[in-house]
Amino acid sequence: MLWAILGLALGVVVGYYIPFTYSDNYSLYISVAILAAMDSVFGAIRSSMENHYNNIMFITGFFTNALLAAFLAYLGDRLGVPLYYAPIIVFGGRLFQNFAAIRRSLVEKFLMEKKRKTRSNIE
Amino acid sequence: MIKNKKINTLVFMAFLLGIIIALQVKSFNGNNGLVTLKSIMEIENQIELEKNDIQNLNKLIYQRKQELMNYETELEDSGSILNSLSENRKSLKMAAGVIALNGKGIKIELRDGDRELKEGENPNNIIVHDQDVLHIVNDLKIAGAEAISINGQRLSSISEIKCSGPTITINGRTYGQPFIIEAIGPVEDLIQITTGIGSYSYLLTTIYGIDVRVYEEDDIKIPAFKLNGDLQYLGEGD
Repeated sequence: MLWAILGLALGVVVGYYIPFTYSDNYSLYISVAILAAMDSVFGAIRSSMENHYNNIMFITGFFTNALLAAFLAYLGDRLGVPLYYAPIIVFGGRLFQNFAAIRRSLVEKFLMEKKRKTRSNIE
Repeated sequence: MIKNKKINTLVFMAFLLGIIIALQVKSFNGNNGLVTLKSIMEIENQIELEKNDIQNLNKLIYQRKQELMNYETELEDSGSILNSLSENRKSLKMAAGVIALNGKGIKIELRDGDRELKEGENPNNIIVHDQDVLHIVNDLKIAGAEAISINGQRLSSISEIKCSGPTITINGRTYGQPFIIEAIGPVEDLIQITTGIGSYSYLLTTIYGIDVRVYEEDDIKIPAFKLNGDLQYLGEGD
């Protein structure tokens, strides 16, 4: 988890300094793709904490979710229906769920450690 | 070892996500907001229109330059541009209708129909109306007529064609039938648009039974247009 956040921070720094920008036209698609990718990363952190992390599932999910979200946004633009709401709602909701799960497992770990310590102290 | 590798992937993916986020933050300009394909198309259309405008203006500039060049060469050749200016003035006068004109053209005679009315039929059907005349005049203009007169009244840009009972008022004067429309212009085109199948005058003759006769004339005389009173409301523009 710590490593993932560190990687994220490093990525932000690197991305900020590399001289590459894209047209403003794509910013809607990229933003929903980012949401999907964020969901994947949080999901991966959660599953790694719950010890059922799967590498292939994570990588495929990362890319296909991002592509599907961007494609939905594009399709919505073409059809005149704001389809980009779908990724925003689904991934946004899941982001909170994942975050809640991460928080819970963190707190549990912390509490368990404390308990063990107090028990060893008593003994 | 395996777990380590897995964690490495996670870190790498997080790294990738960080790069994308930074790029998005960098690329996104808050002032622009979301740009939909529709608005892009609209703006593209506008640009296209503006480009057309620019092209037209360039053409106009080119024309004006050409004119200027003509004047200059004339000035060099003969020492004055009076000739071409007076020619210009003459054609403007002809178009405005302030001088009498003659030329090749056609003559159209419109008379009320003399067929028997069917039972219950409206007698208006076989009477020549002001709008019939208007429509034919417009057809003539479409065919390229350069000057038109009705019953000897030159049709200027402010001439009215007004219904006054069984008669028609043009330039403030009232005429009964027959209505004689004379037009100077490309004879063949004028004849085609007044006699061709599907034309308005064809419809008048075949369906309503109005008497429309078209003659080709070598020498049509159209008198000058006389203004009734002064122009009160016109001011000079830029």
